Amino acid sequence: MMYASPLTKNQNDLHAWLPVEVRDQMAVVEEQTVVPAGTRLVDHNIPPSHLVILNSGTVEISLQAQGRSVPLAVEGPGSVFDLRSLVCGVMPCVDVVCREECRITRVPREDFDRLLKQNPKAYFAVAKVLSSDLKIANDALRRLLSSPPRGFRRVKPSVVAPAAAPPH
Amino acid sequence: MASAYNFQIVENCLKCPTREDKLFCNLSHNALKALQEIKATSVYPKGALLCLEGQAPRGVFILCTGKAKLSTTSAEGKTIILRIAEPGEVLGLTAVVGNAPYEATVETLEPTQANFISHNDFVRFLEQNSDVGLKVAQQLTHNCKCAYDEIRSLGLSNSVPEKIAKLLLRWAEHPLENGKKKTGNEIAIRVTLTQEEIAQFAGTSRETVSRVLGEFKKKGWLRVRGATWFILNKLELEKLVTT
Repeated sequence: MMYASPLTKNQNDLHAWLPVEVRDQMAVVEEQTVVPAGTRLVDHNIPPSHLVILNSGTVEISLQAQGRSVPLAVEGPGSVFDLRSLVCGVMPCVDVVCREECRITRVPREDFDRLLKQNPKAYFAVAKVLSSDLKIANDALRRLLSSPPRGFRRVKPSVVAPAAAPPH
Repeated sequence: MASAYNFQIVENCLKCPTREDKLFCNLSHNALKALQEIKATSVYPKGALLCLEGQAPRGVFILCTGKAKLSTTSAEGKTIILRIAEPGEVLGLTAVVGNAPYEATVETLEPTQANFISHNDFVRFLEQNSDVGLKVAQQLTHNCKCAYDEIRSLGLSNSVPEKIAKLLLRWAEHPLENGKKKTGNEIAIRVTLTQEEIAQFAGTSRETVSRVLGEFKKKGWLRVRGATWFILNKLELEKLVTT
């Protein structure tokens, strides 16, 4: 089996490790769009309709707990979001909000499901991305246990931005 | 026939009586046959190290019976327990999939049976069986959720007694079958962690854990008999948990 080339700048873990034929199939259904700062790419209350790949800009990943928010990480180009929810059928655990104008690629859920069913080898790339998610969570847990915070910050309602605009 | 450590060793995954209840092992017949070909079964005593943080990834371990703690070391050299793995979980996945060093040290908390699968065999196994891919995704999702739950729980706790009460209440969700509700609201649980390990789990010191447990005992909320602990007043522990 041929894999795409290893991860390079502006690429993402998913593309980098998908078999070439799957990446080509996915390219057909990908939608490119630009979203403003404050856009919520992932909402922990909403089941995802798309897989989201960040191509440019930065986002903040945070965890919500009883009206409070704990920042987990700031991620840049190449990050992939909502994969856990799409593959395992669970609600997202985190919120992902754009810190600036971001260029993103969106893959409709049903298309991604179909690609995965038709190409089981794509699961290796899925596992790569999920491993990165787990690393972010474990790093945050390490930080918390090393120096417990005085409490999570309160969520400011103004941070909540409209959902991602539909693709142009 | 009596067996070492008082448990039956299951060599054949196809005949494992509990595989359907486990997170990873409930695979298709073909995948189980393939697993049977590539895995090596071993039994480990309590305190055995399956892998070390920072070690190159040799392969994954599927926990068949027994429990194991996953710990890491902070930048300040403090040992931190990330979580306790249960039977049916795959350990070392992130390292093998990411071809990176093991993220945590895995140490058995009791006599344990584990199946080892080498790095290359596991990657091939994953690529060739779609149901294995889905199970791997589910396992990673489970691990991630555990980490998020821990962050929420610890980050929202205002005091060490609250953190320890939360741990006890979490363990009380899985009481000992034959020790459950001996009288009234009494709940028996098996605690395989030492006070030092509970401290590493709660991000505090052993002395503080000892003091808090002493207070719980004095108030009549808890009784300790070796590794069997009895939660005598669940309601009071719940009151302590404000979040």
